[in-house]
Amino acid sequence: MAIDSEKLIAAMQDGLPICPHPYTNLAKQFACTEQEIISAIAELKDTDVLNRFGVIVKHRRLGYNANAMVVWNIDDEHIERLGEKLAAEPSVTLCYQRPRNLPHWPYNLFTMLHGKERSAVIRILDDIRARLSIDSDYDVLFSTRCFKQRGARYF
Amino acid sequence: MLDDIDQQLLQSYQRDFPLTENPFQEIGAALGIEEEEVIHRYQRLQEEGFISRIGPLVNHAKVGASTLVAIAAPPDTIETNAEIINSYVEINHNYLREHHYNLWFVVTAKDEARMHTVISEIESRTGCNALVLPMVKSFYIDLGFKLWQ
Repeated sequence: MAIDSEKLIAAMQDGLPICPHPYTNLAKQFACTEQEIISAIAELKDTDVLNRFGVIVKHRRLGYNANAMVVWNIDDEHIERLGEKLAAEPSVTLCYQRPRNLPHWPYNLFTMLHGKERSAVIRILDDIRARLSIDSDYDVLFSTRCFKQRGARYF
Repeated sequence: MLDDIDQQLLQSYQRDFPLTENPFQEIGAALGIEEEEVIHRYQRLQEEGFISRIGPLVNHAKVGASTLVAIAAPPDTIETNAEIINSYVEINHNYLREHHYNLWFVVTAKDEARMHTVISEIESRTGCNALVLPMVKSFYIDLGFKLWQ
């Protein structure tokens, strides 16, 4: 019997138990073998339902305290090219196109930059703008407080 | 302090976590340590707050409905409005940022209808108009976070 992928994702939302057989409980819950659970997870990865499966680190705890959302107003005709280039930068985590909302919000490309301090983030940003010759308007929104951060609850 | 083994446990298994019945045994074999030590170290790294969990990172574009949302909360209402936003199980991220739009949160729901209900309720309870910014396209491929050069 096929394992319901939505139910499987829901059952893993808090992560696997850290023990010798971490898939045992899931196998019991879904009345199948551990190998069937593992195959179902592999399938979710292969079909891009999961971006990845593994250790989810808390980068703030590791000293990455300066976290900036950098937003750009990129001409529509250049967004594919610049989106791909920014996404390939090692310091950029997340690179999404989102709609503008004029007149309140002119920016259409969203990236995240992380560093141990703000000056490091700004240096990285200046370097990226120079190397990729980006002269579009942009804004830097540093986060100053985290009110909530956890895995998504879909179901 | 984190030694070389801790760093490898954090860095190398964000993406390529072994999909086998005994993943910690396989990691131990790769790093030249016992399964028991791998388990003990991951438990400690979790207790000390270096990892949130070992599990799936879901692709928002493929499952359910989600969007980034921002509101411009007057400074003296930030705390209460952040609590209102956090009160929904559909909110998984909520950050204060230095900008006129200062509260930024992600709404993730089972479907579009529920997502819009949550946004409307937050607008009416906070008295702030929501800037709703759903993803149009992702250019990013998530390889995990590069912690050490």
